[in-house]
Amino acid sequence: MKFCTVKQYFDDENNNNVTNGIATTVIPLPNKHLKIKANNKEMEQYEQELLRNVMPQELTKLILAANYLNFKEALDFFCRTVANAIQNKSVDYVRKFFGLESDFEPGEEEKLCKEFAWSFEGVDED
Amino acid sequence: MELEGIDLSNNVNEGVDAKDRISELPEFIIHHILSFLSTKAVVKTSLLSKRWNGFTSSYPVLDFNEDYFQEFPTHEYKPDQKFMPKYEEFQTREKVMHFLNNSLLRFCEQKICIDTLMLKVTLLNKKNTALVNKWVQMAVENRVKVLDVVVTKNKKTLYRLPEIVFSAKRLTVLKLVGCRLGHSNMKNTITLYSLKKLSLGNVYVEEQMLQNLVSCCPSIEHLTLKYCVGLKKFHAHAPLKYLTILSLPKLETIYYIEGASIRNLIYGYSIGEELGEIKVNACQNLRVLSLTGASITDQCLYDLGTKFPHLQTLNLSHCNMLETVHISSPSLNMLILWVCKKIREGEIDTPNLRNFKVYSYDKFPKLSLKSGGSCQTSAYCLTNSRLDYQYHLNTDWLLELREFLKNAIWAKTLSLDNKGQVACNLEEFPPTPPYDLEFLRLNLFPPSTGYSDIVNGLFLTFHPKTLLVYSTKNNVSCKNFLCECLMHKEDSGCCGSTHIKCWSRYLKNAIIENFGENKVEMPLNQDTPFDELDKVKDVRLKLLWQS
Repeated sequence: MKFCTVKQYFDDENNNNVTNGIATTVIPLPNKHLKIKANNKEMEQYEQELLRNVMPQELTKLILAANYLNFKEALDFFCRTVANAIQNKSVDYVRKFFGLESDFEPGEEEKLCKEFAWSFEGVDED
Repeated sequence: MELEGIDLSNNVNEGVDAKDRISELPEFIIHHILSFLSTKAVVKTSLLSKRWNGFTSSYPVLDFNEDYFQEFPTHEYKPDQKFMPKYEEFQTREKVMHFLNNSLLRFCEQKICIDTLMLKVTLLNKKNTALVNKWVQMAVENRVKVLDVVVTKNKKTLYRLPEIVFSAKRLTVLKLVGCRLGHSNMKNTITLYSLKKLSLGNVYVEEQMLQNLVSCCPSIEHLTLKYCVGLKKFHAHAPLKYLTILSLPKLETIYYIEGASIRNLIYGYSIGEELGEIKVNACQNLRVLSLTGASITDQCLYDLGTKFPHLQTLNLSHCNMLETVHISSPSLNMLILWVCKKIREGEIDTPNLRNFKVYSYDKFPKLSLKSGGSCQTSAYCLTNSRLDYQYHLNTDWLLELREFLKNAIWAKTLSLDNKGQVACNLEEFPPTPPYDLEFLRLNLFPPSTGYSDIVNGLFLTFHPKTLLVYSTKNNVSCKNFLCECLMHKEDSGCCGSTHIKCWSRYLKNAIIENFGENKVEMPLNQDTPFDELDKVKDVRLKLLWQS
């Protein structure tokens, strides 16, 4: 029941949403997921591995693929991975991680910083 | 700042387009990512870029907690309602309330539904109370699904929850602490059609109101009542499935639980001389039963097997009317007996039991267990844990413990926590063979007479295959002492006493299982680098004994 969309995908040759590379990563996931579902530590390790090997940009594609395939556990897993990567990090680190630039006016950003100073607690070193 | 195009210095890997893809994800996925972040982390993302600022502004989970803006001197400090400012921008509670108010107004301007509103505030004046009333109203008007309100007020009064909450048709979870639920005599004003979980803590609500409330919620499954005031009795029935009830002597409430819909029941009464009363009737689908401080009798316990044919987990804690326990249940998987101090003996017939734990202060009951082969059983001895300083570890106690283990041949794990004094006289030990234990866990605080008494007593009584020694900052010496004792010595010149056999003669080898950073195995002998041992917090040792 998780894979009704997978069949659809294979039928539809001209599908732009999911490239082959992604399909090979996402589809073996349920087996792996079921195997290591019980063992939290292994999930952590897998997550670390994922972060090291898979770029944030690739992770984006994985997320979209999981969403397209309606695969909730994979979607949760990837989203949580992104969240864990940025949880205690500084704004600058997260910008670098996502590969984005700040587009605020200089005064604007400062104002926001002051207003949300209370959210900067407990930040890891970059 | 306005750079468009690729900034290669951001690239960790080569040849990859550094263009920001994550921000191009659809908003609902970004929100899904945010749902795994703490409130502070979510707020920080609003500083990433204008687009992220937009994502955060439309994120429908609002967490308004005045504690984020305060600094408490220590972890255990109980705020006495005075605002303790932490940030320059938020020097007073008024400033915080003003900021939260603006945040809510800004959100509601977008005309998006609020998913969750969490509030934790202290209300000391009418102005702030009116503000919170307005917030609750706005949340309901914006079709809130999860509402969590924690209010601290002056000691005499409680925050009166606005009645509009009872007509929140989209509400699925309602959690209240420190509130007062007013009268609603007319049943048709309560339209909580979607409410699945209701949790009330330190809430004043009268019996009629609560019964009305619960019976007007067709979807309700979870009900939590913690120290609720104003109830003489409460009758829990269908469609409720999961119940958690905590009560105190002074509240004088009697709870009646009834019906085939009830799956889980957790009942806790404050631990003391008095026992709480709870009446359970016709709950044949009960799966999990946990009773603390309940006045359950031996007969009641025996009847559980037939009354609850699907019971899987049974947890009895401080049920001090029990003396001779007789449990017969083919469905039971997990059984925990926590310090029911009057239990002297019992018979437990549970063929499908997988996990059995017995916690005692000093005296262990004589229990015979009939369970299937794969049952993990552990006995925990907590002498002098918490504030109970009446018990002392002495020879009698050790002999009783040995007696207990001899009878309870099912006990494979023994866990010993001791903070008090020890007085063991080894001369009093009869020369009976020691008991082979799978696992011994020790958490011993330094007794004034030193560790040798207790350690000798323990190893004369048990030969554990695995030993786990906890060390906290108060008892590092225990770990060191044990390692000294267990060290494999080349020359076996041991104690001169011939009255009892020296236990170290039977110890063939000791291997540390979690040594060093890589947690490798390391035999314990003269060559063991002891300074490295200091770095290992909880030492796990494999002990090989002569059989």
